[in-house]
Amino acid sequence: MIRDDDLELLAKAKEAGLLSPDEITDDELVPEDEEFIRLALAERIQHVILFTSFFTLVLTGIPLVFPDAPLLHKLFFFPESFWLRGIIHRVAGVTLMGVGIFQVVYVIMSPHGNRDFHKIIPNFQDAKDALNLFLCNLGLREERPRFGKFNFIEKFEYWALAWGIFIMAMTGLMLWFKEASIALFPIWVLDIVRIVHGFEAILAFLAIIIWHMYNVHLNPEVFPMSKVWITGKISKKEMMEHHPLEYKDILRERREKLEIERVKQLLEEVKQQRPSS
Amino acid sequence: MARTKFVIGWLVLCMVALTADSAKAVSSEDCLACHEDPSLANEQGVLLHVNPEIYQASIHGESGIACTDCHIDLADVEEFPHPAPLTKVDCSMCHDTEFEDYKKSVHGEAFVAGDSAAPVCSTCHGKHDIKRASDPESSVFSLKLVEICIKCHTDTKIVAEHNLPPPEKIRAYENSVHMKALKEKGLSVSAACNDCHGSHKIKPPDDPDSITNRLNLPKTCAKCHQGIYQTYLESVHGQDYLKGNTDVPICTDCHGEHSIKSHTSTESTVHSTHIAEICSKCHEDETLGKRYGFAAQRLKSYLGTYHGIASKMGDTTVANCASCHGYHDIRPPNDPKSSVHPDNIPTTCGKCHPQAGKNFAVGKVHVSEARESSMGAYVVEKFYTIFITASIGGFVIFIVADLYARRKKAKRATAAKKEKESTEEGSHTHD
Repeated sequence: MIRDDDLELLAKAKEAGLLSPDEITDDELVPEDEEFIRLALAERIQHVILFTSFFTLVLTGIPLVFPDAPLLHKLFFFPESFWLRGIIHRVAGVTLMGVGIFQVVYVIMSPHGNRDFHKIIPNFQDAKDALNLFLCNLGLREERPRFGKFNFIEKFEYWALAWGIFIMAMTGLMLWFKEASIALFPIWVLDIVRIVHGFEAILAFLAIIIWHMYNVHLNPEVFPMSKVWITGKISKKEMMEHHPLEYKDILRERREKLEIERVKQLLEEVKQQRPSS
Repeated sequence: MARTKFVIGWLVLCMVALTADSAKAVSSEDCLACHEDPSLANEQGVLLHVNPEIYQASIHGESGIACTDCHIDLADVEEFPHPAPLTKVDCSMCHDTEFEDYKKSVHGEAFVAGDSAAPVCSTCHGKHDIKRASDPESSVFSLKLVEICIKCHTDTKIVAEHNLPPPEKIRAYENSVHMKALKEKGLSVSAACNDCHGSHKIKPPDDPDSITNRLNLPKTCAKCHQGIYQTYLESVHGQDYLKGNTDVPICTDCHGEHSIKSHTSTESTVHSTHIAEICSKCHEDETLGKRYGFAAQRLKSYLGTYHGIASKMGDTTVANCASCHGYHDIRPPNDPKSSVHPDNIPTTCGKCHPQAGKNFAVGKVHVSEARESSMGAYVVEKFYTIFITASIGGFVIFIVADLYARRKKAKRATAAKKEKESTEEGSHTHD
């Protein structure tokens, strides 16, 4: 981050005409082969644990949603198999809840996570972006919306996931500790909890399979797969195309940094020249 | 005159004595003189040997019954070898009550009608080696009897000619809990064929006098399972059974007949994973449902629960029909003694869910997501159905629009490329 007094200094210098506005080109600021960090290592690890536990939960939960599928019956061929399914489901559930809790701590404690969290908070602009992109795709509007670090699709996924994990964790825990729940609530509440857990699971699964899979796998642009989840990096080209507002911010920040350096250098030169003259 | 009278009297006495003597003339020893020979055979090659040791060890031998007491037509024979064939031995001379029973049985009727395949006394009891039925050596002792019955009842020729139940049905007994107890555990009191079907008085199950008839069978099982019988009689099923209702389930309707297994066996029709099937045979039956006003969709609503799903997948620890309703002691829910009476629900559920309290009785157990059945469940299900459809629909529309735009862009790009190429070519020719 640039200090405020440096920015003041820069403003004064510009006012005094010390710097010519186009002295530094964009290409000088960002080399052609530069790659930008999109996901930090901690985030990539969270993502891996998240999707492995997610799919484990889906696989071990499917039998409860489609108990009549004959193929599933073949999977439960030994007497303890259904019990084992329950154990695996719970282990994966605890893992997923662990990721959720870690994410909360991460966005509060880690500077990187905290800064990104502020960028992922949804606002009215996201709704406008969604509508505009849709209209633009249909050819009803010329200009495509320009996105920052997180576009509305990514924000939606993030918050849908957060909401989903919260609901699934709450209902899941109630069903897991059914004796405690039944001591607190009448049995019909648990019936609703069971229904919610099932439907929310279907919703989460379909959302991931359709929405997330399209955006990061099947989309012709990234097919067969965007590698960001592994490398955590995106190219300058991708940055300019998909996150122009973020790119603009990066450029501005770097330009200001350079300009401040130049101003300081100039001041230093002036200081050195003055005693000699 | 007096002298003549004396002579006549003496002669008569002598004759009587002679006759008596001649009756005793054929003793068992006389018979054995020939029949002791192991190689003794008739012209057809049939062995006629009688082992004196075996006979002496038999119940008749022990009681001092002589050969001619049964083979009565040999009593007066004077010339040996005696003529053959002999009259068939008639056991009813002594065992008249057993014979009367036998005559009325399905076997006896066939015998009287001249059916050569009909089993007679000796088919089951043997001949010279007959032992008391309670003697472990006896061919009709519980541990051995099955072999005798199975011999004819699995003979495909006899079965086909007499329209008997298929051999598989009979053989199913060999894997039953009763046969296992007999063979593997050596438990002689376990039920063999005769315990359920009777011995001399065997009748087909459709005969009202048969102990396997619907109206008599529970009593037959009660010979051994008396305690369960009494519990059953108090249950909703037993009460109707006592009224002579033939729709009501009796022992065999749930447990099976020959194939009956321990309820802990996964093959048992009353194993925890099969209970729902067995109960729904009647409780999901439309005709019976209408006749007795069964609550609808009990099975479906059970199968939709975690209990039902887990049970279907082979989990034996979850609740099935019997876990809550009981089995032999099933009572209607309005009976205060019923395990599913609202007052007893916390205790019943508490068997598995120890902290279960009053809340278990608040709300339905058999929930179907119908408005009338459970408003909350109905609303939640409707909401999610609409919400999921709308969300997925939204995703799909958005994706389709995106793909459409990409295709248009790609087309435009290729068109531009072609145009560029053609103009370049054009400029070349111009030069």
